[in-house]
Amino acid sequence: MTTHHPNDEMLMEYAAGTLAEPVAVALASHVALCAACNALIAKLEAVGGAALDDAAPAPLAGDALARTLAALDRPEPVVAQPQYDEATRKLVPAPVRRYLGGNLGALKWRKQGKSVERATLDSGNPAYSMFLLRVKEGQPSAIHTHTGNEFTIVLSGAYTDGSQRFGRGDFQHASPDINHIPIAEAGQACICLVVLDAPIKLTGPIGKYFNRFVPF
Amino acid sequence: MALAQASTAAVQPATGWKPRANGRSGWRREAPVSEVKPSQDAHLRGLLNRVAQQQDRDAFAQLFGHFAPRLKAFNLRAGIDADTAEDLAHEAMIQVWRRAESFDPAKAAVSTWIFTIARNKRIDRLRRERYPETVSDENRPEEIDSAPAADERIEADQYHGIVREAVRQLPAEQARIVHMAFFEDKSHSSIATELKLPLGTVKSRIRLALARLREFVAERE
Repeated sequence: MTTHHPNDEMLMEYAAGTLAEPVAVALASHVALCAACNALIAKLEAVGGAALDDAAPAPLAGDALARTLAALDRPEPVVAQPQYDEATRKLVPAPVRRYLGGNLGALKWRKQGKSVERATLDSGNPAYSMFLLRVKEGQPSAIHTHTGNEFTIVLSGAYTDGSQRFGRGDFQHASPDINHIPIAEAGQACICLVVLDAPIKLTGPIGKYFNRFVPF
Repeated sequence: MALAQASTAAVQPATGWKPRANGRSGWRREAPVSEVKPSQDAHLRGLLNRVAQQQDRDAFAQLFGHFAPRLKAFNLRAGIDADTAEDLAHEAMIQVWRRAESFDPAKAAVSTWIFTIARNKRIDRLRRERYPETVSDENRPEEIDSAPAADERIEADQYHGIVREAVRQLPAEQARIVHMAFFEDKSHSSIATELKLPLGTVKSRIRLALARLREFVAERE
């Protein structure tokens, strides 16, 4: 049962198709784990269906139907469906899996300080960064501020940020002005999917040192 | 008084809108001529079912006749050139043929399902991006696999009509933004730029619109 959801505007942008792919992936991962947002997306997509119904038909080329009928028998291009092991399927929601480049176990984690590791995913869009973050139980992730937006979805474990607790499936949107320090809950490591639309800045004293050479 | 009337007139939408009945403020749009009735959705569902079960080309041709010109119009509204708009309609209809079996009438009306196919095709082509699906076959719970019960089907069907009606009942300034987002493929920030409104105003109108849609749907569900 998730308790933190994307706001309505974002759900609507997803349904209308105007979110950039990396942000849409973040949103879809939450929706894959949240029945309430799943139901809401279905309603918002029905708005799109209604818009399609109400469209005044535009005339097609004379041979349009013939052309489409002729294409029906052509074999569909085969797209290899990667198979994922159980550990990957259990932890990673379907919308994110294709960005892993394989199973969870094959990811390359890079240390970022004592308690934080990060595995970069290729979001396909250079204006965004997408990565999995693993924070040791009971440990803080780096204190940081953003120059852009940060979208975080918890995949395992939980973290607290101020007075709020984020567990599996929960969605946090941190806007540019927020300066925060999420802390992984005791019990198990906290793994999150994070999508950024601009570099983040570490604001702690050690973080400031790291900012000089950590490529975000 | 005269002044108040003049300013009301100034915000009246051009055509097809009427003042809301029942004394509430705002305007409502009159139903367009091309309205799809619930019985029509049942008809479209029947055609799609024939495509899925028997690869029925005649049924497909009828679906094509209904949807392809609307898909083209839909793409044209997003500012896409006529050739590409038609080509994308063609691609979406091929996808309808290939995926007909995966259509789940308990989840969506036929036009909503085809809207999502067309939306993803458009993103794929224009932005060279792959839009993630929220419910893929992989993470769909097994219990949905069985055929939907008759009452569920009626619900999805009626539901579609309710949403369409809800959109029609929106005040003009909210409906305009909802239409720009869904129809013209515009992000909220480009809507703000085009309407010369602060982004915050666009977002608050969207929130109001969604609250109203929710309220409208909840009253009838």
